[in-house]
Amino acid sequence: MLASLIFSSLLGNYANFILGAMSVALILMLFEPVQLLLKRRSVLQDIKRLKRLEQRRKSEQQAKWKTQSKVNES
Amino acid sequence: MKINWFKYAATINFYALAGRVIPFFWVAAVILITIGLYWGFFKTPDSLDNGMKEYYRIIFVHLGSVWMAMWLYIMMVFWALVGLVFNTKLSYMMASATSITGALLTVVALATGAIWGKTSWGTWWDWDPKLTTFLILLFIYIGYIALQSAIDDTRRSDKASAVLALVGLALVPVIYSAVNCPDPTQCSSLHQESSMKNIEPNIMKGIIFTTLGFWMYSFATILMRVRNIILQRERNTNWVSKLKEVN
Repeated sequence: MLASLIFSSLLGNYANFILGAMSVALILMLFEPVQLLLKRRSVLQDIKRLKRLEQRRKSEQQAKWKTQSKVNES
Repeated sequence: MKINWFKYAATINFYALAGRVIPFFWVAAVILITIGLYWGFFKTPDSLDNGMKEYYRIIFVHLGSVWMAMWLYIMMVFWALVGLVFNTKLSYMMASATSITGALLTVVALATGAIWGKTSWGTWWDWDPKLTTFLILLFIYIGYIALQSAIDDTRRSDKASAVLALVGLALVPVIYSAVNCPDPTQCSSLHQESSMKNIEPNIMKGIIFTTLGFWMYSFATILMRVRNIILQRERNTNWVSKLKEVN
């Protein structure tokens, strides 16, 4: 309804109308790469977090084995 | 030099290749769309012989998005079919990446068409075959995307949505024949018949530039999205953890 009112008020001026149409299209088309870049950032952060967790798990496991082997030696 | 294209069916190789070509597609898209819009605004007449005034310039965005919405659907079906036949995971990923860009360009086509309709026919929408079939195309795109996200198992969701895409392919010739009606007296509606044969060469140049720009835009966004999908689906693999951007 609001869009209809805005565009109706521009009806007499075709140049504004064309610019309106172009803007709608270009805003929609610009939204996509921005969204993709944000998505990529979040996916990479997720992978980094998983990798850190995995490394921590491995180092904890190694520490546990070392302690175990010392106990066994003694 | 002989290139082994099958090498790029592997996600690890395709991820690297896509990363290298995306900037070229973006540069080409920006240049072509800028030239097309400049041509459309400054090198074309203010009104057409058939009485259309300046608003006809919406065609430079509208036509490109309409063509791309249909071409991307065919492309999506192609990848879905390759996935179903050869069971290659990259094909399903390509189909999935294509669907969102296709849906977006369908929305752009419908939005610019509605604005054109308001200036040209005095109404935003008319339930004629050309517009309605295009709206159904948008619903099929949305259905495909919804089906993919509704099933957790990616293998099953890929296959189910590929079948849906194949079924929806029947709509593309219907849209094409609705706009290029063989007998215009049988399909009279507000939306004009395709006038590509009578279009001025000067206007055609602008349309060609913007449409090529839309192709480049689509390639760039699809490749960006497929890289995201690869990262998401293969995040537990060894090669992803060794990537430069992850370290």
